[in-house]
Amino acid sequence: MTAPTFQEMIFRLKHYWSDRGCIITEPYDMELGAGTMSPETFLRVLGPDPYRVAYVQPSRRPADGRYGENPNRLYKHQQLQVILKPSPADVLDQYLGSLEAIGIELRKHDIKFEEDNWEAPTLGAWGIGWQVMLDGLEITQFTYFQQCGGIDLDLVPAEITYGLERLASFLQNKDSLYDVEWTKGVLYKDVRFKDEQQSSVYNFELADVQMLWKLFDLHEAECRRLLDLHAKYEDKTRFPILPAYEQVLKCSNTFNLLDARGAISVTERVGVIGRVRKLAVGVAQLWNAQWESAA
Amino acid sequence: MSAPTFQEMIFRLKHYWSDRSCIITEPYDIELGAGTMSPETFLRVLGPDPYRVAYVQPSRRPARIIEEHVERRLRTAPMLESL
Repeated sequence: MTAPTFQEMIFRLKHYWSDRGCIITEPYDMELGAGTMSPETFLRVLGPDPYRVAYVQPSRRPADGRYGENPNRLYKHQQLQVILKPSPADVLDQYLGSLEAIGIELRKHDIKFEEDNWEAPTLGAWGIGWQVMLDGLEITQFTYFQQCGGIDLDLVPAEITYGLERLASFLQNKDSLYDVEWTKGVLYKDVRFKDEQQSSVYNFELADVQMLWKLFDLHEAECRRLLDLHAKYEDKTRFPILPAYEQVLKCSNTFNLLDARGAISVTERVGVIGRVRKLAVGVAQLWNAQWESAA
Repeated sequence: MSAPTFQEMIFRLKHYWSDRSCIITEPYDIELGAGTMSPETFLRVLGPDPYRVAYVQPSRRPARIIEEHVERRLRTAPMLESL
């Protein structure tokens, strides 16, 4: 069997999880550092309602940019994020089945689960987990989510995060992800090389540091303002929690840009992470309060 | 034939255009008012290179009552004869 193209591989994974009861959504249309930050994960893992969702999320990590010159690293890579809440008993078999669905013959390869507990300090989130190694290459992060926004989760969800470029490189046996076939006759570099190159120039050299600090302060203030309005807002069921969370996402991305620009000292770092975390925790508490008042 | 679900309909449309040589991309991860504003349209329609792409774009229009709807964007350059 010939290896699937990049887009064919994504089709198959989405179909696979769709067949297992997942809602398939488009990525969140804001700059995120990881699939976990999407409201489809961050907010939906809270509360007592079961939820199953799968989506691709372009994940922007300005400090990881390499001007398109590193064969294995990207500023913006794509993750497939799967949330199964609560985690089903056969979650591991379901995951392994997804690898077979894209053409990986498991008995011919070495699959290892290496303990790798996961933590996102800006989100007040952590979980117990493993990285999945396929012939020595990390292709997935597998986590049992324990806490989000500083809140203990009632229904422990399984979070499965695939690194799509790495997976496609493996399937197509390419040394560089830029040589991955996106669709027939079109390579990854034809679609994404310029993005990587130009974004690196901006993120490392040209982004205006003072403007970024100003943006960070503005987004933080807007989120704070909304959180403070909640107490006096009459109809709590329609209070704009999601728009408040979007301000957290803006803060987080601005923080990542400042970091790539070398504008955050080691001593400042902890404080800035704490500022974002405080907002994320505030949003999570309101979200929880909202379903409690509705129940 | 029963009507496809929302996500099944999107699968089918993406497959259809994929089979017709379109690159399928994920939406642009910034708030846009329409699919046209994505760099995959705005920049790629410029210049002499042929390009075929299809993507879903969540399109935000704050002034509308329905704040967010999903718009499907198809772009083929040059325009197909059949169109």
